Amino acid sequence: MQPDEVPSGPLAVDTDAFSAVHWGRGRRDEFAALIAGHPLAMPFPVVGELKVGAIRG
Amino acid sequence: MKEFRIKLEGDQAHLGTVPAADVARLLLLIEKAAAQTAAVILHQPKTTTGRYRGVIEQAVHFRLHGIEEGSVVPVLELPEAGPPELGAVRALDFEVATLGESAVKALLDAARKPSEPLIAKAMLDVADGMLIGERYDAIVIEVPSNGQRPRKVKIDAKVRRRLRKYVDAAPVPASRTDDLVGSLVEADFERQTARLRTPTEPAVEVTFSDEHSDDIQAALRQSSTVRGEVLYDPKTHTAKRIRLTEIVRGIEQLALDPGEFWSAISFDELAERQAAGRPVDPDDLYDDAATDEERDAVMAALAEFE
Repeated sequence: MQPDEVPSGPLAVDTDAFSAVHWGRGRRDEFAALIAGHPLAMPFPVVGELKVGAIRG
Repeated sequence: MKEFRIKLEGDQAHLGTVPAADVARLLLLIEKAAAQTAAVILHQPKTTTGRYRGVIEQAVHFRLHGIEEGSVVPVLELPEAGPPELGAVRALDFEVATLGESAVKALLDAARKPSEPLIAKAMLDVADGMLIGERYDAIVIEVPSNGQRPRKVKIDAKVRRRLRKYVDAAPVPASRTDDLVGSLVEADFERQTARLRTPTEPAVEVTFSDEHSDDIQAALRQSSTVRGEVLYDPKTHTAKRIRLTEIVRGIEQLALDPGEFWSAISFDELAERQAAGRPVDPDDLYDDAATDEERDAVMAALAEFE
């Protein structure tokens, strides 16, 4: 998917996408281009996974 | 198994030469290791407190039958039968009649092929305490084996190194003060145990003291936040046991309002409540304070979900 193919408006990010952008790892550049300029929503399970990842890491 | 022998091997391991204190230390170390192993078998890693201590002490209350000629071979006798209090801990799926016998066998298993860090550590403490590979060559433990040839296990310098390597590499069970959320069920007020059913674990073992009995009774089958010393599985990081210090009614940890949970809120309303909803700049989401090691560690932890 290219940035111009992303629908306008808010996006729900998953754990992979947010962690890549937040920690600057993996597909960071790819995801950053897709979410730039969009309001983001983080589903409850994603928040949970990120917290668990931070605790375990 | 009634009797078992512990042979000390080495130049100094002969009657008339061996320091009496070393023989005494050997016996004490064996008894201590058996007690620690019995505690693991009873799922109670701590032997210093609680009603299990008396049960374990009886189970490993070995009697010295003699010290044989030649090498130093203390002959110990196990208690005749399981201690009477053993019936009180059968709820923990413990079926064997003689806890002490099981503990000794588990120690021998650990010497051959360690599979439980706490038991391996107990066996290692014996080897370390007797300076195996330094002052003495080996300890050979011999136990009867159902009328067949006695089972012999030698703990020498090689086994000591293997145990050390295993213990050092094993993750340490983590215990910390924490809150668990779930429903309390199957409370046993005689044994002072209960089960906490959480969204992810069907049976976290709860232990409590007299002062909490009324709170447990009142909280049964309701969502509760159980606060106490939580023992986590070192591999899965899931809670396994909790020693209760307090019960908090409801789900304080998540501060959930059940009614609020079911209300449908639009994205704009939710964003307004949280002062969020603005377009993001990915660079603002980047955590520039973390080290490379921290980034790798978190990413590795998250990868386990996949």
